[in-house]
Amino acid sequence: MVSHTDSKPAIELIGLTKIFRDFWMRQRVVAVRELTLTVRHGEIFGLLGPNGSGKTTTIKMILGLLYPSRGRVWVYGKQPTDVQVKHRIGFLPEETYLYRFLNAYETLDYYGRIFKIARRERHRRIEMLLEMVGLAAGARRPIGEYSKGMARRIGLAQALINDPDLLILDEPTTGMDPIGSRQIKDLIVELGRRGKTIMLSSHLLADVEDVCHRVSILYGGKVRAEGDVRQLLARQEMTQIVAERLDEQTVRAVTGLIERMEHKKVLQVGNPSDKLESLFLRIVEQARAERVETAGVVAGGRIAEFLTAERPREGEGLIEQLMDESEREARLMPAGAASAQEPGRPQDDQPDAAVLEQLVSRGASNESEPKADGPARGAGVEPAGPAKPAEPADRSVIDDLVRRAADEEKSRDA
Amino acid sequence: MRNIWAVARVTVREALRQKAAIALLLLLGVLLPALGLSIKGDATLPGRAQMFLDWSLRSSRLILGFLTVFVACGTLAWELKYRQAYITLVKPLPRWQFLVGKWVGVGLLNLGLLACVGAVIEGFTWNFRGRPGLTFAGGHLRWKDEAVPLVGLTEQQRNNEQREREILLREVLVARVSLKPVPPMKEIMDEIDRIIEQRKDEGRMPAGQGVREFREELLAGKLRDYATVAPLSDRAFKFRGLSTAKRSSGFIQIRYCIEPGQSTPNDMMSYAWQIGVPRKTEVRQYDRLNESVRTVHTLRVPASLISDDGELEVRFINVNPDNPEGTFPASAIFAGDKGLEVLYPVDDFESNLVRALAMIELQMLFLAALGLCAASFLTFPTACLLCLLVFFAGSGVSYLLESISWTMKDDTAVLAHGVTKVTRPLVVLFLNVIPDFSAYSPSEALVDGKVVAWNWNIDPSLGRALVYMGVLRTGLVVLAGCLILQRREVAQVIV
Repeated sequence: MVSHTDSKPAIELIGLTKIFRDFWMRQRVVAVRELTLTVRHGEIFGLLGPNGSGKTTTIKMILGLLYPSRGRVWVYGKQPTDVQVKHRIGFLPEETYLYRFLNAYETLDYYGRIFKIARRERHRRIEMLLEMVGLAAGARRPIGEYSKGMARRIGLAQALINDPDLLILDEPTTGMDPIGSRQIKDLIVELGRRGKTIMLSSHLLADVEDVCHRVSILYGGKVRAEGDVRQLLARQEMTQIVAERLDEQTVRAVTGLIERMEHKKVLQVGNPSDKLESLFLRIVEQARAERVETAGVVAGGRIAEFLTAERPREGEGLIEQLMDESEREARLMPAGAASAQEPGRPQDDQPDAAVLEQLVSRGASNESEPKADGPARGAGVEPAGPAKPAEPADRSVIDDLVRRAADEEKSRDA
Repeated sequence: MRNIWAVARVTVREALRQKAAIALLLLLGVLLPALGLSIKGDATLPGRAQMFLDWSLRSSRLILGFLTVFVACGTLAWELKYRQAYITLVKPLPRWQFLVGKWVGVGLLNLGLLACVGAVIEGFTWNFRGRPGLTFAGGHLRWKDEAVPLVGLTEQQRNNEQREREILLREVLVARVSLKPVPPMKEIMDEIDRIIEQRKDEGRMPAGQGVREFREELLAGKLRDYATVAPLSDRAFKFRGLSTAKRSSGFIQIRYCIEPGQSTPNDMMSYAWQIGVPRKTEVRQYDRLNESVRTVHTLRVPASLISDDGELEVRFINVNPDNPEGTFPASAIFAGDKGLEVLYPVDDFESNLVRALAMIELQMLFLAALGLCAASFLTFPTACLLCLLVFFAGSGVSYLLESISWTMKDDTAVLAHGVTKVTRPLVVLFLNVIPDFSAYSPSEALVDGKVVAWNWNIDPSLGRALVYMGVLRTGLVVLAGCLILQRREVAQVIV
């Protein structure tokens, strides 16, 4: 479904302004003012801002639900009211506005019909989406009986029924439990990897940070900051090192090494704490493994096959395989211990393994070698902090680490 | 088309899963059988059937009207209020298809319900007939070409039963065309012109009245005179356009209802009818002795009395045939719709019932369009109020217009009723814009055994209803709704 011949951006807003007026046409509120931004093909774009900053109004103008007072909106080079362009869009609103009298199956069938999806294909997609969002068992229950999170999941499924090129998600994790929230974030990343363009609006900063390539921060209907997530978040003046548990002596040695070599103070040394999300996920996964009964959502989470994927480039399959393995391992380990990251996805709060390796090798020769020439890049220790390296993960290093871990495991088994 | 169908399906589902709609459907489901089982009418079989038809059609129309208004207004107004439209309208679904889909859905719902109503009515009429497949032919009740014996009753009861069934089949469960006598308009208008000229010459034109009003007043008087037969006199009423009746039917019916000029002994009158066209056909005399006045009577005469060119002359003789000298000195007035008419069958009851239900469906389609159009810019309660106003005002347009025309003649009444010179034209405009449901009411026709025809010249005309109400008015309202929905911002103002 992704058209690589599209020369125009997925979304282009030029000088967009929305003024809400009262009955007497007096100007009441300027919700969006002179907003100009571009969402490129295949990127995951975050629209951030506090309540009332104009995020939802902007999205509604992109979808043709509101008309701009001034300025232009282009979606794939066409006006948002153009019916043809709507074939390429999937939308999840900030709340699940679905027909309470229909069940999940009927709901998806209705929207599938509007997209004129052939009967057999429609049913195939519905089955896959219900499976994916974990609602296959409750597909025949009216949506009015669903919990908020379940309704949210079916809302997500309806947004994907047409295998959209552009997915617009307004507060997608609202009302979701941590598992659902994680699944949606994983889904967003996966869809992004498959070449979908995703616009994500949220005031949950962690959601945006986890998945977005680029963000725009709105306040008072205006863009206050815009750019690459990593560039915006990177704290160039600090370095973070995360290692397996070290004894007191090693910590003192490393601290001393840093102070001697870099003439910098070590700001913090301690045990990194697990993220609550990771802890929660581990507990639930364990419960599921034990087949504990539940009336709620079941596992699901497998991406529906029909959602179009870009064909992987030559050799990329091997890398992806390794990345997936390393990601799985990272999930099983405490968050701080994981070190590998998926390509194309913004790095989590794990440190760059290359820095650790470099430091250790330097430390080994430190006793005999003189101080390094000039100061290296800023180094500080902040085990559980959100700082991110400015450079993307070095694949060779990751491969090396994965290989080493596998060798070690083999030798332990032996 | 697939989009419209998808929206229509969901609209029907929505209606069938709403509590209010289910309550109205249950009411309909209970009411019709209850009416069929409990109605006694005037204790005769035709009377019972007529009352059942009248009540069942009127109550069904009323319930369906409410259901249509609530469903049509609700399906759009709630969808906009509760924002389901946010999801639907960002799909590749043009807004006009969304609105038309909902309209089709409400129409389909009504169609299904009217089919149920039709089935219930047909079931009870079968019961009234005595048994399924009973027909009236050659002057006898027949079932599969055999005369039906009625057993278990006395001779007189059997005769009564048979007579009632015959009347039921001949005058109720049938579709007849009704023709009114054609007044000699040329002579009447010449006479009126002459009177006006004379008054002008004499300077005796009525004060405060224009020539047009005076002419209308004179015409009404002349037509009243035409419909009035003084005692010891007679009048020939002419009917035209009966060629079909002559060709297709063995018998025609002459139905009349006499309003006496003054009270008669025991509300009875004696008189005679001479039927046939002199010098063209045989002329037969029918003496009616001591017949009740203000009651509808039917005279069954052979179609052979119609001339070859489709004319029939019906002469009323206001003389007691038994005792001409003893004729009671009261005029006989054939006033109103049932004053005097000729009826002849053209179709069966079932086809007529289907057309009658189709006429109700057209009314419901208009209401559905109006409800959706109103809900495209009004809230649910306001849209409902507007639709119900149109529904009830449209059911009494003729009466309301007549009432207003009376208030226009009397300024005191205008002030007394608080109808100002500003609001009156607006009300008249409103009443002229909305469809006249009373002109397209099929229940009276069905009760009288009259045809609901496609023909534009026969009232009530399904063809006229289809064009004026179903296509023009409904089309305009749907178009207006589409334009409003297209232009409006669907999303609510949330900053």
